[in-house]
Amino acid sequence: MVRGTIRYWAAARAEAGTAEEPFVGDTLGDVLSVARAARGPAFSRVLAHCTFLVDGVRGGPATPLVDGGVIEVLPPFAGGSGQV
Amino acid sequence: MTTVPDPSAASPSAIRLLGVRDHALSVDEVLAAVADGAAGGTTVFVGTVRDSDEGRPVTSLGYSAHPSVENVLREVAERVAAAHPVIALAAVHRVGDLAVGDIAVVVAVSSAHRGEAFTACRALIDDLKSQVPIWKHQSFADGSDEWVGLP
Repeated sequence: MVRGTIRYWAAARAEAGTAEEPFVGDTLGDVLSVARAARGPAFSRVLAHCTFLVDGVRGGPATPLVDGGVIEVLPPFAGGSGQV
Repeated sequence: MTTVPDPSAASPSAIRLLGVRDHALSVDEVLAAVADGAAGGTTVFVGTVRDSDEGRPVTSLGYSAHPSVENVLREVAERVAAAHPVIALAAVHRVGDLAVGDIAVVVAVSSAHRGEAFTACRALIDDLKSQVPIWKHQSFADGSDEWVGLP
């Protein structure tokens, strides 16, 4: 298991109740499961629409983590959907 | 040492002004940035804070950005400049707390002809809105709030 930092932005930050927290886990999927388990359904709903950066690169559930790494949780951007 | 200004060195590309700012934006500044003797047409888009969203009165609105925002804005601008025959382009976006009527974003493009300016300006604002990591949080008169972009 490796340790690092997970950073929440915008709506994810609001639902997480924190801008960042430490993580322990081997993959992005592991860490997100732990984060979801610690919070309510509203947080999980936001997470379902987020993209994830692992050390600056977009990642998925199987993306491996490295010690001291940073996961960023990015909700959809303001103009990414809806009316134009 | 005396140096003679070299226009090509001063403007290595068509991108004349990009910014993400926590204070009021100026349309005049953006228009001045794309002014060029070779331009026959300039298109400017000004995005402002609307007083309602889907019928609900908006009382306040905040924009926040990821630290990568300026790099991504530059990438978007570079792609638009490469894809369209523009002479100059500029884009600035506001962050922080805004009031109804405040300017949230200004983009402008100058081209030899108006058609190119309209097309490139539309591409610039659409790509900026969909790709640049800026989030919008709205508060409504009934006390509710939402993050725009989430269902």
